[in-house]
Amino acid sequence: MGPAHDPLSKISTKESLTSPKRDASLNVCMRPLSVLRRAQLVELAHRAGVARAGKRRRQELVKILLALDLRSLRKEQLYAMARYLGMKAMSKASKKILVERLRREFAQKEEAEVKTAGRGLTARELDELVRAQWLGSSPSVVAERLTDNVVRQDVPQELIREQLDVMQIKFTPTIRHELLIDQDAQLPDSYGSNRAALLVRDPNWLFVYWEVTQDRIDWARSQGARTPLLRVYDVTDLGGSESWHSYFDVYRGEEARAWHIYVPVAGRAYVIEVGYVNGRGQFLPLLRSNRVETPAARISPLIEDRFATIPFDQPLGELARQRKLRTRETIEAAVRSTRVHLKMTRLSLPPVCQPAVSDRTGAVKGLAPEGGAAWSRVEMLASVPEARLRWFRLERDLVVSGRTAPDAMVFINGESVDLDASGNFWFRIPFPAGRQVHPVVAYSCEKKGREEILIQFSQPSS
Amino acid sequence: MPIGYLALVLHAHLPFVRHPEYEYFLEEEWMYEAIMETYLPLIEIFDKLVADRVPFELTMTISPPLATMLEDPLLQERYIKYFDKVMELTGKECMRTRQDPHFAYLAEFYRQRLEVAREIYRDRYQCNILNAFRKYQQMGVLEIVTCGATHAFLPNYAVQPEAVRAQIQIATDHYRETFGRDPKGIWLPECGYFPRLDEFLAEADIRFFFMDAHGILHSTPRPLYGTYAPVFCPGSGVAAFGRDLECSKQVWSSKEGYPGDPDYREFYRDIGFDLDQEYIARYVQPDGKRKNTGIKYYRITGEVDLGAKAPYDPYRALQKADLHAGNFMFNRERQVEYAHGVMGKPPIVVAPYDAELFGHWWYEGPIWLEYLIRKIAYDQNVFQLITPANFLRKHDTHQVCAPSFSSWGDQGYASYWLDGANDWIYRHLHEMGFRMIEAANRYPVPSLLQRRLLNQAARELLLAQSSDWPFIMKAGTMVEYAVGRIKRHAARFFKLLDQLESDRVDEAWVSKVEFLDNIFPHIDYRKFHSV
Repeated sequence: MGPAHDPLSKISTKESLTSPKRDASLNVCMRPLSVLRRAQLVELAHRAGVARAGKRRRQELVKILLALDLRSLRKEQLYAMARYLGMKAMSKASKKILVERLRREFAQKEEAEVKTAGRGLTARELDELVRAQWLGSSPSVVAERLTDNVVRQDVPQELIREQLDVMQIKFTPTIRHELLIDQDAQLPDSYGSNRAALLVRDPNWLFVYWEVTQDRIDWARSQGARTPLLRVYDVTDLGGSESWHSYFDVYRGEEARAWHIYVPVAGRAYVIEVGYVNGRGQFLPLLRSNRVETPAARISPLIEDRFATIPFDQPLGELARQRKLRTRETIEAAVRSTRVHLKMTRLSLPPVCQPAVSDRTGAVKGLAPEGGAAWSRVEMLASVPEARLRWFRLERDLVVSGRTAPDAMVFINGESVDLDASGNFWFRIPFPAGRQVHPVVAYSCEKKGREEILIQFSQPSS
Repeated sequence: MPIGYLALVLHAHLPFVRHPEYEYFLEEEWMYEAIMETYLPLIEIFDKLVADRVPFELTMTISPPLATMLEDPLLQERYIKYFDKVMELTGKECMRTRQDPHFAYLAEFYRQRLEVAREIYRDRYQCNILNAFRKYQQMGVLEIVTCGATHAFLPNYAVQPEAVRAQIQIATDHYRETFGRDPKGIWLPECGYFPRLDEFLAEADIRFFFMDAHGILHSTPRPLYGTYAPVFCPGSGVAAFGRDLECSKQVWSSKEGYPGDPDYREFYRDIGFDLDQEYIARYVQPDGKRKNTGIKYYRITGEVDLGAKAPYDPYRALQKADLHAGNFMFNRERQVEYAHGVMGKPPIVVAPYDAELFGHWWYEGPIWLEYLIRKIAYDQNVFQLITPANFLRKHDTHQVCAPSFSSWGDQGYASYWLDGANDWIYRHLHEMGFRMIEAANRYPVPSLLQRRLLNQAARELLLAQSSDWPFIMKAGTMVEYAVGRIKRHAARFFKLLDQLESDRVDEAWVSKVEFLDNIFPHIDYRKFHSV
């Protein structure tokens, strides 16, 4: 029977147009079994007396219902099914009619041009609607375009949502299966090697992983291996030899193959041995790791002003290739050292106080020429006023520190410098190329005494 | 007369994600989003600055995987598809919001921004935005530095010097092919430095690299000028520049930093999550799962729930970006003046950022950058922008200090990439490394087929070494993908070497692997040989 002649479709279309707010189950009746939700199928199957309907999968239920011999069912069952499917005017129908109508109902396939109950849309229109929506137009626009005579809000959203699921499968991006290779790749458990690798995590944590072959473990067992251990050696400043400053042990699990180790002191070098302790307390090493150094995590206490000049246009590559032969020489040959000329002059004498002269030596450190740590020393006569300025000394060039009485005042280039409780002061003097003069002035408390030291630098600009 | 310098450094990297086997692949969108939200806006402002003849100098990393993906025809084609979809969505949004004046305005704002982006991507640079960056480099406004070949976190490979060397050498080779000159500097992946790493850089004639502040501050001997001057590494003479802490806090920090300002756009309110499933279905993932679409109508507003966010106002956001650019410049002026006073020579302030911060996470970032560059050029005379290379050309005398082990990751060391969540990968990655080194030593003169296998094995190893996989495992999102990638590359690697050694080669399979993992077409596996 062609769909156009389906009496039911005419009825429902007409009904829908007259009374749009119909029982929701009417939606159900116009859809073939394959588009019913599983819950609906279960209900239907229950009414048909299908055993364990609630436990079956959706596809299974569709199959069972389609294969059902309706004639073998009782009339009450058929009627209940018809009711559930929203079929009207069935209460007085004979069993034969019920069977026929239900069979027709069940047999409807997707391609059937059935007007959707209550909505005036054909299945194809619905399909188009959903497709259009999937492609991005808003539902109202689609509905308008498709069905001029249908009220917009009647677009069955629930239906569309279900259809969307179907469409989504249809529109799922294609996969080039021939290129899906190595998808279920797994990593080997072990590589059958003997290796322990030690890695630095941060100043206080190391990570070690290892792999030991069974024959080594067997050897250890033969030596009475009992407790599995990691022995962590502190080898700071020690070369490739097997010596160490100290060690500590970490008990590891027998099956463990990796461990995070806490090391309390930062800035040290470590090596780890994986092994066992036997009954006599003897350590049986199986593996030795590489050596690592943890970062110090603090500002270096070492102060050394070593500067280098490396012209940017000079290629490092050649130097690096030669480095294997003579590391330091080649690099440092490329380094023009910075030369510094230092001169210190004591200038004025305090007008108010009598200077008592005593010999003091002020050491002035210059930038190290030729990459070494040679200090230029400048002899300096410091005049020490009687008052509280016991002495006043300059020690460095770029970073200048000194000490005077705690209640004195010190100025450099006219700006005051803070003193700490015991009269120490510390500051940096700018140090660009060219000649520079910096007056450093110290006043005793209440400005009775005054002393000035003039620092002169000259740095060749080349 | 400027008395100091500011070096702005943008680090652009994305892992190599390219899946021709799937028509749609979510992770590929990392790059599409970055192009849309970061790279195109950056190109837009650079083009404007160049057109206006504003003097500026910036430094940028473009990692080899990112450069490869930006030039990949398949990904370019897919980006256009992605772009067209967003474009379509903005068109729909203009319709949907037409009753609401403010949102209609915002929708139109996005539509126009996309028109500009399309013009730049398709018409101005013919879908290859690497051409834009090449052009800037030739003009001298941009210095592109290289990176690790696949962004491996190098301190975790310190046990394998050959692997470290290969990461650097293959990256510099790739740089030469891509940019037609030698790289002068490098961005060490995640700023990961371990003692004497600089010697590998010197071998490749790389002259400078960047570190986090404590890498310099904790160097030995004590650095006289802190991070205000680079130091030369002893033994190699490579210069190390330290990140300025103040700059990074002002821009990075989500609390104290600029990007957290209430007027800026809220990243986490996206219409991909806000609108009806029916409406948005086509613009999210094909299985219906929600995702970001890039269209966001709300501003950060303050410490409120996502639902209580106020609508975004581009005018106010622009004003804020202007204010923040001025503030950043003012702070740098004071900083430079102070540092110059103390040092007596021009200090350099190094401010490195992830490029994706600008535009992707911080929507107004590119505009802020443009304002900042213009202000620096015209509104002050205390400091000037410079690239590290030009700085070293002008100032070639520096202290000699050995930098400290460090990274710019959480806690400042290796803990993010060597965590309980990801430490298991190194057993395998090191084994692969040893096998690769061994093979490279054993086959100095390969046959054609052997070379193919060995080169592909090298590609698989490099791809597996990417620091992005342990990062993702630790971060805890998309973990499955990262684990899968490592497993797949490892499996392919071992299979390739097995076929090499047994001489039973499945050529069809090898071709597929070459087709899939096609990074570094001109790779030479001998970079892995022992010296």
